[in-house]
Amino acid sequence: MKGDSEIWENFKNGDKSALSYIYFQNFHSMFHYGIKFKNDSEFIKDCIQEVFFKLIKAGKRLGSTDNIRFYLFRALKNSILRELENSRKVDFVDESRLKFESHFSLEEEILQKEKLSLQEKALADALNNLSSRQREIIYLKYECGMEYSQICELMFINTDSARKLVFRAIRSLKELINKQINSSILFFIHLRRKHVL
Amino acid sequence: MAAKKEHNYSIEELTQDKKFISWVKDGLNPEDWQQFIKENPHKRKDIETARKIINLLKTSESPIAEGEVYAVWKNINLFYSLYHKKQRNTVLKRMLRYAAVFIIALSIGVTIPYFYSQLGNRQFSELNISDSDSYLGAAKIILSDGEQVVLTEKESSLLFNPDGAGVKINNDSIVKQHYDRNSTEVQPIQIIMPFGKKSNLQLPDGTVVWLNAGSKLVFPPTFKGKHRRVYLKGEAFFKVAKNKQKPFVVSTNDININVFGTEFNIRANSSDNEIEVVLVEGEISLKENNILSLLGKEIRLKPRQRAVYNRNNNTTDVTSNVDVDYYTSWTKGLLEFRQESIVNVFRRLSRFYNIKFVAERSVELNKKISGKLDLKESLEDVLKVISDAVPITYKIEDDKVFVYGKLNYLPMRK
Repeated sequence: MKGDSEIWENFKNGDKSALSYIYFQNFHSMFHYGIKFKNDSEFIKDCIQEVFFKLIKAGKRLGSTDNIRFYLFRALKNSILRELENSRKVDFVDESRLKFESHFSLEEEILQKEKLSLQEKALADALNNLSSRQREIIYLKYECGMEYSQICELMFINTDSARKLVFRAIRSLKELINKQINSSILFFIHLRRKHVL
Repeated sequence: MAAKKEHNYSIEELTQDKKFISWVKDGLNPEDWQQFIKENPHKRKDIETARKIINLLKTSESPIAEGEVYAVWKNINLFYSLYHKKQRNTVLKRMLRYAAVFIIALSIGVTIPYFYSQLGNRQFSELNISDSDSYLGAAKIILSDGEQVVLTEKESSLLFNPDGAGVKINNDSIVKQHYDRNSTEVQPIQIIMPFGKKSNLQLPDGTVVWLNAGSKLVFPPTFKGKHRRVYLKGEAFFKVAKNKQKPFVVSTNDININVFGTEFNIRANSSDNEIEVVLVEGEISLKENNILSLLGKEIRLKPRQRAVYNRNNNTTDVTSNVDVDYYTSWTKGLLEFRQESIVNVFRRLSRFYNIKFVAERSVELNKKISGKLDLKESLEDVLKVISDAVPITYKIEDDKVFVYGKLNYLPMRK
């Protein structure tokens, strides 16, 4: 199996099979990442297409990378920002206006259920209360296996705050799992969450 | 293994450990973690909690159809092929100088409705370059006896017999025409050049005419009467045979051009607001062609002067010392542009090659370009030259050219 760096270099030199490999290896994850910013699959497909057009066009002028997925995510995010700027006819769509909206599997599952245990409800609420930035970090870390350094580059935040955001999310879940839950504690946690974030 | 040494991992740390995550999510290296639990039995509960948390953090995904994956790939694949076409260098052709030539160029501006059509995921606007006189179909001669001769060559040469007996086509076949020479109502000869075809012809009086694509020329089998009168729609270049007794007159819908023995080029497509006349050498005069023309002023042009007649307000502007080569280059199969918008270039090309241009929204159609194109080259070669000069790529499909904007270098944020 070739490493990312080598595949990337081949792609830069115009190797068609490298292009096809990169596309099919990454389309799904790019799509799933992108769709969290704007729930419009046609729009996201256009953005992905733009990313590849630009990469093909740039060819040898592209930098090196040992993590193609990270590179593509960054390009996709830029593309989404740019396309939004174009479509909204505004000068600049601020990074902060790009809200990452993901749903956790548990949230979906719970929607299907009629009766919830107290703990399930508490956990779902805790997940539901996670901010858009927390969701993005969690997504990149747990679904995409990215390093904090890369996550921070993608999100324009520093490593410490990224770690802290994840740490907080995990701690609240841990407390809910470990403790015998009653509604007053839950209420307390809610209050605290809103205060801190 | 890191987990072994750092057995004081908190739940928070565990849930962020790459190896731990890959064990929980993908079941990688389970024996390492079994070993870890064995050595740190007090951590068993924490590991369970950490596992639960990671599972809770699973994001749900809506599925995407494979067909959509391939639809996007098709576009990317196409873009790749277009982009990696070998680039050609623009070959600048030296212009040939004309001696004793004058040009009358009547240009007809075309309003361009934009039609939107979807190609894949991308939006295109179609440049509809349909003049009312865009003679589609075959290039043909309609002779005085009503016989129609279809011209199959891309460029034909037609030699009309001085006595009106017939026409020699491409120095080869001769077609004779039979009509009543004494009749006062002789049907004129019509030459119809659709887009993509052109011809050069010699009229019965010896005048030589280059008839451009998308043009029509009408003239009698022999020039009787006081004038040698021809009727033109479209663009033509004339080398008028001298005959002081019989002035040569080119009629268009709006103006008449009286020629006093010389050579000239006319462009008179029908839907434009302007008629442009450029004189290279000799002398011509312009006069409005309507009932009021008796009152109208006759404008005389001197060599290297250019007159632009405006059909809306019936005014004529005259410029001196124009570069006449610029207006005659088409007769040599060259198309010259000076600060022309891309859309105008496409418009001209669509005449020569009889094709339609369909431009992607992002193409800057009003961008101005200058240069010379050799129309003897194939359409593909000509487009290659253009795509070197302006940021476009293209794809030819049947009678359409799809034009895409070239994308700029990917700006990466740091």
